[in-house]
Amino acid sequence: MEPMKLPAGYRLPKGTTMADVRRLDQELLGSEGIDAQGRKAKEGRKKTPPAGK
Amino acid sequence: MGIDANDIVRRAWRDLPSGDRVLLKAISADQWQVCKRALGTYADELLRSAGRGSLPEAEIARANDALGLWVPELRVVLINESHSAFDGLDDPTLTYDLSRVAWHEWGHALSIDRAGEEDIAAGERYLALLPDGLAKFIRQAGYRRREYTHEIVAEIYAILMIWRRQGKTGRPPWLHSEVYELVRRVAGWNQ
Repeated sequence: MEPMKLPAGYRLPKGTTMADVRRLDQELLGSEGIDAQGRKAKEGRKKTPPAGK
Repeated sequence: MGIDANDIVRRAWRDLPSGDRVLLKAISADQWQVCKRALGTYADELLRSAGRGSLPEAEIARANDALGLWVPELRVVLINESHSAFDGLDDPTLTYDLSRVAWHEWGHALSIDRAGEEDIAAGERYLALLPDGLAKFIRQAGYRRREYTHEIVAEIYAILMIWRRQGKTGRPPWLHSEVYELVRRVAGWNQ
């Protein structure tokens, strides 16, 4: 029996956020299409509790 | 009411080049699920309920930190929209981030099925060819050496999708030709 293929995930290094990812994208690709998206809203999306809780 | 995460991922799928969608369908990698669960625990539950056995505890813990996950045994991409990395984002930013994660995971699906042993063995060398910031990011995220090639293909695939969305084609000037050729060969990128 073949061993199970393990899942492959997208993880962030400790202490980094998606904002760091967007900054890196911007460095590589330029600001076009990223400027409008690389910010946090003052009233952003609220954290939704997991289903069933 | 904010934008729906499922709609974002559906649009990200539709944004893929048609040839890539065909390729993903051909390897049965065209299913996804947006959920609000820690992905390691959830994937383990799905695997057990499908009679595929259980993941090792360490793998569950690693995957629980993930924003997105490709589960090759179940041929499904899982995305955890309740991950803290997505908290407090406005709609355009959430769209950007969720799309990027989805593209990364589809890149994973292609890489894990199509990369050869030589590609995997060369992961460290490919990593050294990446721009410093990107290489540092992959090194610091705690991937195993044998995961480097898959991670590189997935990450470059996602970045090339953003590049394409900007209306650009071909190899970005900062991307080493060997890495570009790897992604073209393994992920079928031909834009």
